Amino acid sequence: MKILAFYNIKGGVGKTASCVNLAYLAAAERAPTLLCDLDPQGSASYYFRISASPKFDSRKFLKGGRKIAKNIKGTDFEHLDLLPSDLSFRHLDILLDDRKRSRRRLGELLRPLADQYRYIFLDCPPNITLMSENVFLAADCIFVPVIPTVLSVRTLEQLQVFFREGGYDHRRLWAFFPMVEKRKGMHRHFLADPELTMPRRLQTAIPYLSEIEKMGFYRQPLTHHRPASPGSAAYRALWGEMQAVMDGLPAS
Amino acid sequence: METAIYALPDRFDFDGLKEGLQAAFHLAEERRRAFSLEVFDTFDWRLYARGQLLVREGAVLKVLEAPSDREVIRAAISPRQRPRFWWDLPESPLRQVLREVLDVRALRLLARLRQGVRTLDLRNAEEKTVARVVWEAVARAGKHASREPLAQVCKLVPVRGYRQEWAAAARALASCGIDRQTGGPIVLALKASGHRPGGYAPKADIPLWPEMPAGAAARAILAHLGQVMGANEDGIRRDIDTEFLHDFRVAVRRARSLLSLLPGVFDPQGRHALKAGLQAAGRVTTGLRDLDVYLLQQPRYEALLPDRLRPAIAPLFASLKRRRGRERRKTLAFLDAGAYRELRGHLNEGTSAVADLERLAPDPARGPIKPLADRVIFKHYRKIIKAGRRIGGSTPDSDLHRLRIECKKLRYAIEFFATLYPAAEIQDLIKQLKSLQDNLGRFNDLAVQQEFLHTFLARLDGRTPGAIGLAAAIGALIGRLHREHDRVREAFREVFAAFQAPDNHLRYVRLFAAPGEPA
Repeated sequence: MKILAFYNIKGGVGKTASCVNLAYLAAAERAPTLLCDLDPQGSASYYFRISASPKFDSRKFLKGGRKIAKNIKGTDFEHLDLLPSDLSFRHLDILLDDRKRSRRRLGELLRPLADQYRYIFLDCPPNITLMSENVFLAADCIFVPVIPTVLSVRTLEQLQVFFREGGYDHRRLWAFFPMVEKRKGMHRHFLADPELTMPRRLQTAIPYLSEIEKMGFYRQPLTHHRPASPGSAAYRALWGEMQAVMDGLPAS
Repeated sequence: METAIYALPDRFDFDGLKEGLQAAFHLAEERRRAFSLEVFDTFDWRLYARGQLLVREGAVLKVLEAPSDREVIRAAISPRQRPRFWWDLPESPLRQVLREVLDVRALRLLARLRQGVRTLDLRNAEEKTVARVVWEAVARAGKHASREPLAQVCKLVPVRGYRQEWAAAARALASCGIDRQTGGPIVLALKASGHRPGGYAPKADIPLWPEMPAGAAARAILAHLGQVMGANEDGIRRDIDTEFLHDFRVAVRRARSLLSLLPGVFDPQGRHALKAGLQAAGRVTTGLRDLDVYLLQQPRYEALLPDRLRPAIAPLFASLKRRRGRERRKTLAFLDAGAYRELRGHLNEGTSAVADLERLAPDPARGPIKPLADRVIFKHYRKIIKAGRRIGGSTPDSDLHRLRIECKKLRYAIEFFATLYPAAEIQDLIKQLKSLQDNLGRFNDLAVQQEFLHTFLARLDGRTPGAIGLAAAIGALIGRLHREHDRVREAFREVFAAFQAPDNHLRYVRLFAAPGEPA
């Protein structure tokens, strides 16, 4: 099992769209895949038309085991399941803080799912919190979508500093460019700069496309709904790169 | 939550079903697809016995889980290749699975089918799919293609996390008057086209009861063994794999064993004729079986040899293959001969040897089978204990060989009469006995193989090209086998100690010893 986190301190950077489209591609290759929606906004759950059962909340989530297994739902697509988020997930940090080994809890919660899933995708909430630190420890790879702008690149630098100071494994950190608009000079500038304080960067850029934004309308992964579109092609190329990254990791 | 399967009547109104479901769900547009498939299994239904099916759909070979037909694993296969042995398939995880399951057995093409699938997604108010209704019809394809389905079923497939919705759909289906059933459409189609999945069971328990007259019991056992022999004839003739002849010979051996275990229940003349027929069946086929065993050893022998000697062994197997052709002709001629037909007749219908045993045969045939079975099993058990205890470091190999034969007799006896005793106890007994037999069997195989290689070496003409390399390779093999032989012999002590351990011994006493009989 490999755990892939999609994370950025900043919101609105195409994190959920990437997570949903890539998780669909993983499942389309017949790999049993689970998408965990950790964001209290529940956008990933919304894309799949799934809402958590009224009895499911952040406390149940942190209990783990059967509480989690019972609340996993099948999406409309074979091999792809989803653990929906709940608005109460906004309290995850407070609840985590009360526990022992509070930075390791997420990893412990996901471990029992190893025999069911080849990939677990984590759609993470923005901000650096105790929950994010759980993600940094649990995930095999942390994929950071970075819009090629000054502010966005700056948040990546902040994250790298945080990793260094917190003693997290910075080799797990991978950046990629979503929402790229080639007509913008600044985007071209950042794309062309190979140094860019980003030692681990995936080469595929996801273009800014209205068809990706429209996913909220038709509530399906673009990679399923419009497999021939340029956006889908870009996600497929990106998924290929991510698989190569994970193939290079030691087996777990 | 599992896929529920419903039997459908011949003329089923799918649209009527849709109406019933419409009350509770939004129905998506129906999706239809149809495809051809081929179904495979071994003669002894190894995949079916594991609750699985092996099908080929074009260039894809896949294992399905029965009865949901959910895919377990798949691999690409050349569309022209007919899958037969696991080792013919390209490297893949599926090949590994088949390696475990099939071992040396060949796959047989059971049926060419055409499957039509109509899928209806049931959705909730959010337009999220919460369950699926799948209608599947399977018809004959290929030479005898027909539109008339061999089987059709309706499946209600759950989506994880939507239990209540699934239950609501199940209620809607039930109100259409269709009933749940256990088989998937492919297995149903196999049955409808005349197959009997799981039907071949050479070691099936023969139903006996304690008061059953011994003669009738013997007749039931022999009839079963005759059927096993008959079931394997076709596979031997068509040379499908080596196990047909093997099973055939085991049945012959078991029948001979029965004659010697229960001598008193047969009339002497009939018993003599049967024995002669069975002996011939064993003798004629031994050469072919031995060659099969050596040829199956080829990969192992090659692995035992150092790299540089490996190619040199090839002429050995080439020569064995030529000899195998000759032996095969002998076996086939035997199967076609009148003597064999007569033997089969004796076993199946019974002649003077087995028919009317209760009436014609000597007294013991009329007595109940149970005390006889007790006595036979306990006698052979004690023989084994006595002989086994005498075996030490300097005992000749031939004594171990004799002990192996004794163990076989005991094993057959326990299996023949298994239904007279508690099943769990019999299982444990066989498990203990089997580990002893495995040790002795391995010991014997290694002795026979060395002997065979020595003989081959002695007859080798040193002037033929490659002879020197071949001799070197055979020498190296003999060395390896010899070392292994010693190791197996050393292990005997421990294996035998486990066999005669107090709890195993007490079990034999409890189950088989007559009251007051010395243990």
